Amino acid sequence: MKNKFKILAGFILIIFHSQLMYAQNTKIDSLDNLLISATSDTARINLIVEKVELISSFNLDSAINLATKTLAEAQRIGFHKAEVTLRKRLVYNYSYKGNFSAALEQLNDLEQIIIPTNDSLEYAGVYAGWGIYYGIQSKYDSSIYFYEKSIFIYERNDIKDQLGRSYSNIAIGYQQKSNFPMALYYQQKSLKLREENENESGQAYTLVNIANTYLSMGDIERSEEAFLKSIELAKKTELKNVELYAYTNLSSLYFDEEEWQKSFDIAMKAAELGKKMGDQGIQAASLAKASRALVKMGQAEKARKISEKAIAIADSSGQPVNISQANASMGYLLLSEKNWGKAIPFYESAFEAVKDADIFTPNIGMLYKELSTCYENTGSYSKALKLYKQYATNSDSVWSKENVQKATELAMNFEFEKKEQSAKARQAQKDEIARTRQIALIIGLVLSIIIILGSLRAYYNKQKANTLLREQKKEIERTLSKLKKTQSQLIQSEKMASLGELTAGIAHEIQNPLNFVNNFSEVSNELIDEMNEEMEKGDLDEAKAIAKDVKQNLEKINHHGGRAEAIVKNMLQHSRSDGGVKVPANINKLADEYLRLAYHGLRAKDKSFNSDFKTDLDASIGEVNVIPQDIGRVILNLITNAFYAVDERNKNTNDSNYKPLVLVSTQKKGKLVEIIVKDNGNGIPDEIKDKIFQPFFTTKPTGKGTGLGLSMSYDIVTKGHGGKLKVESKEGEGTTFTIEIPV
Amino acid sequence: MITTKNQKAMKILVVDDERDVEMLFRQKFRKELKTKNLELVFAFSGSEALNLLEEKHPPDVAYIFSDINMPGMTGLELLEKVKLRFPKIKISMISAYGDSDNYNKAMQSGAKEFFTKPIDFDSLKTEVKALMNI
Repeated sequence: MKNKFKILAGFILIIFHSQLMYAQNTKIDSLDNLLISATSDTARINLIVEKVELISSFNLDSAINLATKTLAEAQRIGFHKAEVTLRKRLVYNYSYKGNFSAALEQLNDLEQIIIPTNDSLEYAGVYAGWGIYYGIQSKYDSSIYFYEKSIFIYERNDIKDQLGRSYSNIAIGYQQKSNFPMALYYQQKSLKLREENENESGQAYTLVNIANTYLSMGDIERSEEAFLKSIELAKKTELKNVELYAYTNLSSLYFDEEEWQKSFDIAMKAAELGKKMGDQGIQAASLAKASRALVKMGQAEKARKISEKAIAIADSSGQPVNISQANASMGYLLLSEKNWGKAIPFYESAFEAVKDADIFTPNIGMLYKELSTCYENTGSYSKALKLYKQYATNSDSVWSKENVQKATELAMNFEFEKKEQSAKARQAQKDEIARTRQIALIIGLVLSIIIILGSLRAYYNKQKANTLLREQKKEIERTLSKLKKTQSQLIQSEKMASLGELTAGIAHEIQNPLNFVNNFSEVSNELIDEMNEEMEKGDLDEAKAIAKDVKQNLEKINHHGGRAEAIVKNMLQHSRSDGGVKVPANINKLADEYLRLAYHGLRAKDKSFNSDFKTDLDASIGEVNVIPQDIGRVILNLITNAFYAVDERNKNTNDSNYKPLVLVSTQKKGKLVEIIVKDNGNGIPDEIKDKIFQPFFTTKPTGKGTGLGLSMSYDIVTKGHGGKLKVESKEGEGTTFTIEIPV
Repeated sequence: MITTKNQKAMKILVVDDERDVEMLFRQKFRKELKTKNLELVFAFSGSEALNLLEEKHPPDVAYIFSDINMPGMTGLELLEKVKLRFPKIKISMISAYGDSDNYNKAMQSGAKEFFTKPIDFDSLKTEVKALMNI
């Protein structure tokens, strides 16, 4: 900004915002209509109070007259609220008029009627009144002091419209003291509040003051922008006084920009408007500005007239700043004419007017400088120096880097804040989109998580199920191995059981050969004795015959010993649990032995049992490769079953001609050896024929059979020897089991 | 069918499914058989014994020793049939099972004696000698 540190020509006119309502002439008309039909005093007074407020924005004198008249009426009927409002209005309007004693009187009366109410908000109103009273007198320290008090109360109660006004007005004090940061701080607060409330007339007031602050700081661009905006809003809301102040101050701005004509035109416009409104202060100040512009344009005479007029009007307004400004404009004219001596009294008057004021603006500094120039040129150097020093102090202070920087920062901050706000709005929009996306994302995520959790659960369940299955499988395997163990134990017990059943038979079968062994050895002993006798007698032939018998007997002993041995061997083999190996075996001998074992076993167990048995063994089959104990078991099992079947039939038949018979035969058939066990029992009923090879299937009473005999036999023949176990049966005729073993 | 040379001698029938019984008996009664006072005949099943007895009318067998445990017709069945058909022929049982069931049944059926296996040939000889003295 090229003009940043340039000293402004002339005072910036400040405007204190006092309106409760905003001037709208159309509104006054409607108020008048309402007044005609108003029935009660209070209603009428209320309407008049409203009218006073409106009139105050464009004609102070009329407003004061109407207010004073109405105040008397309000007092008469004891209308407290109206009295307070009217007195406040009078304080403002008298202050604007420069009638400070009248204003002070109203203030004192106000305090008297408010104290008993103890209403803090009404106190705040009085404080604001004192603020304006002192502010217009340029006693800004006091003004700030009272405004701070009112702001404190309004902030506590959150009274937004009053706060907007108080912020704006306290800022004037700071601005006039060139404390730009504080001024801008409050003005920005005010503007923000009023923008939020969409209070355009309020914004117009604040903007004109902001423009003033920028102007004071030398920030021309921002200042002009704020003025123009303020004027626009003031016109829109029919706010004449604001429009006026904006014009007069814009004039200063154009002056500062060395746009003299522009500055003059607008200053004159302001003066005229001021006159219309009865605001002499502003009229005088505007004229003073117009004069300065004329000086710059070289129209000295015209300037002189205008300055004279300005001084006259200013004096009657009683406002120090305006008086000072009017006098200074004349001083400036004389100064430009190098009429130093004549200029000095005007300048002195200018200083005199503001000596009690708390003004510390660049304008004052400028006046020091101008007066200093005058003294310098008239030879009063000491005075000149003193004044220059004051100018320098003022300048240094006002234009101190910190002050301006701080204020600029604040201004920048404010703009940044605004930009930030719109950025925030944009951001909020973006955030909204982002949030929507985020929500979608979160929903997606949540769904994903649900799906994952579901999958995990399913996986877990599956794992659980798998574990369960594995456990069940293990359990089944355990059970199976237990069953297998049990089965092998059962098979073993089946073996032992079949053997046990035959114990008596076995004993008999062993006993017989043993008897022969004993008997033959015994008789041989006797024969030896006889042989000796015969030899002593000399009968050698007889001795030889006896010797022959003895030899025969020894052979018999050997034979029967072998018989017993074979039975024991078979018995041991039969009870052996381990899988045997195939060896060449005499099937016929095996069949014969087991047939006898079975017969004698059953006989020994059951005395009533008897059955004939026959063998028809084919000697040509020779030795066959089998596991002897296993095939022995099968044969024994089939024979035992056959004996059981014939015995059952024998016991249950009335046929005396029935002869139980079991026939065991062997025969060779090509590459097969057949072992056939045939009985003439009852036969197997058709319905159980296909079940007989199943494990645990038995027709015997409980405890008589394990039901494993045939299934075991089936396994031995088919799996153990690759053969077949066939059954043929006819009920009432008998059953034939055929073992086929490949050679 | 095996018969002794001397037809005048007393004839005893031994019934047993064990064929070696014949050889044993012949050796045990060697002296008696030599003096020709005794004749031994053998049958290896109940039916064979009955067939032998049916050959002569009346049969010349004076005494029968029979095993009980035999396939087909048992000694006890034979006893009943002999007692029914040939009441004059004395018959004694020889059994491996010396239980009271077999004994009682045999005695009720008219058996003269009940011998248990292994055969005590001394008591058997005493029985035979007593028979011969009659």
